[in-house]
Amino acid sequence: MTEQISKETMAGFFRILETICAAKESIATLAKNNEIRMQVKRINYGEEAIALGVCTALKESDIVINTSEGISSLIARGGSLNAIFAEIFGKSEGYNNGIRGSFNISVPELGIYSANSFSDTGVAMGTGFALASRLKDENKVVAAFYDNETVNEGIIHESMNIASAFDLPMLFVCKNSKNFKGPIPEEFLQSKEFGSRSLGYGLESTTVNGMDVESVYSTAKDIIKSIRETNRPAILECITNSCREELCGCKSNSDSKNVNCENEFNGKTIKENFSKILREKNILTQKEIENVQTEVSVLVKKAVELSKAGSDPKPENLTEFMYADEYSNILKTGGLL
Amino acid sequence: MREIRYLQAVAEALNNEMKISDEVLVMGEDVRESLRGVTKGLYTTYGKDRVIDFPISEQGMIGCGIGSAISGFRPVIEFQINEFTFFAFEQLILQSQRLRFYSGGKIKIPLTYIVPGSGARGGISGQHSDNPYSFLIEGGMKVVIPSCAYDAKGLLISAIRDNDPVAVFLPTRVLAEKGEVPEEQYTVPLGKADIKKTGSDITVVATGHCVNIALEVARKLEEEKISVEVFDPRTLFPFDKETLKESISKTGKVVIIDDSPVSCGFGCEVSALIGEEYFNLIKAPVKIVARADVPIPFSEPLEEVVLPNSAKLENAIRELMGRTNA
Repeated sequence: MTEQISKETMAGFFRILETICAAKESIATLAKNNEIRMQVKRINYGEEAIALGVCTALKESDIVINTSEGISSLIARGGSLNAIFAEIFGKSEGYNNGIRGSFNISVPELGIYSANSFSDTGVAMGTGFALASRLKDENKVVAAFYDNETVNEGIIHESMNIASAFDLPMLFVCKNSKNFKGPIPEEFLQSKEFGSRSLGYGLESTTVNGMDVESVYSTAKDIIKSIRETNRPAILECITNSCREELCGCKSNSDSKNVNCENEFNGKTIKENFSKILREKNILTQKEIENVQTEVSVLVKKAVELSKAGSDPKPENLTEFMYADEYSNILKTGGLL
Repeated sequence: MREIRYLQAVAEALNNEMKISDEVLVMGEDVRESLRGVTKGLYTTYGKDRVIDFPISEQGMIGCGIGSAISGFRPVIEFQINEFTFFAFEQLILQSQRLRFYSGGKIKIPLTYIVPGSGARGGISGQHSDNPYSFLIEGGMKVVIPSCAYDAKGLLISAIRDNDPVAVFLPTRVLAEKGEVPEEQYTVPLGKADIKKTGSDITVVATGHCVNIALEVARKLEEEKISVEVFDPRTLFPFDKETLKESISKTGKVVIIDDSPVSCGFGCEVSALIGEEYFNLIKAPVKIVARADVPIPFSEPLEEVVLPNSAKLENAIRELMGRTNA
């Protein structure tokens, strides 16, 4: 039975949500103002509740496989804004020394090993973490996020089949955006429902409103508990109206386009809806909400300033990071290093 | 010393590593029954949690290997057919090979890929006859090709103990060959070449089963007082260029025989290295005997036309011995 979410937990959620939103808005502004040297191709809005709900329902020792929209999970797992922004600015103080970049930050110390622009490919790796957990009796659960656009990729099916066949403790989290502008995945499904695919693998599939923080959290919490007890993998399909702000990966702000960005439900954004609930349930007053917003905004500004003043990674890092066991002369660098 | 087959040496290396470390897992598509014999008996000894048969799904299997490697295991993944590497390329390169780099060196991925039965094997056409190692090297992966039973055991043990992904190609044409192999465990280090036969007139750089071809031609030409040195890199990447330099310093002439394509194949890489770094040591152009730039045909006579063989090597050597850069 779903437990009541405590007031402290709800207030904590708001701080995380506010941080995620403020960080994304800041990144978008910086990109549009050409303040980030490297490319930031796009920002997703409207998926914050999924990352927040799932990541907070996990234990610290659990593992997360991210999509390119990894910043939300990173913040929800307690990631440092300074290290996130430093990575986005390509600085050596970043989580991956400025080598991985904005989309794909991996933070092993937070259980986030992989984040992929091709959001399906990390899911396969997730089965390996789940297998290791089962073999070592660690009772960890792996939550692997993927986008609806990739549900027809073979690797998703291979991974679900493997997870089911081997009884692996895995939660497949499908971010099903109804605003997706590419070839609509449902067009290519005879059944018109993602969830029905799960039957073929003997997996339970649950669908939630992916823009409702409480609903994602409570549902994820229940499913994760069941996965931990049974080692049976499951699917959580989160429906959203998320949209992407295409920054085009270009450096001209005039090319940035905010395509039909209606990342709302009930006519409001996730944050607006959640703040309303907090006020109605007397968890936070309007004043307290504003205080959190001010605090977070100061932290984001500080992270941006620190990152701008950070140092570039060094050429020798290129070879240093390449292999765990090195051999002399393994890498030719064309005399550049 | 006792003699065993190359394939038995591979199986012995696997068994050795599984015995001394619980971290070593074997994964593949048919590792329990083991059609090829590489993993025969391991399932009975080590059980289902360490000898893991996968559904036929290469991308998923590699992905699973990567996750378990990062989590502290040392998976050895068997590709039953060399072309499966093509199926799994994204996982092999974008994930297993690059994730350490992109994490800023924070993680290690000790994964070994073994490809028993690589290369052409006489009339089985284009979907079982490739040697895709040049692709992997371009992707940054360490690549090993043992040419004899002794090297197979020692190199595989080193590959499993290495903390990065290593692909070990085991050519079909040598799997049944016998050779002297110590019963005790030993390692052959990665990145260290071996001179399989010393000579003074010409260096033949030979990889995998081509080492046997080179030795056969070398013996034949010895009767004509042409002294051939056979250089076996054993590890294609990292490549032991110092030992090659010593050999070229002595002979001044080089033929490369390798079973990957002529264009952009491994032979080109060695030739480029010599041209760039050892030009002052060579007295004649470098020749490459490799696969023609076409897929392997079913017809065996045509397969012979495409593949490197002893006649082609002999011609190349004779051509070089007849000319020098004055």
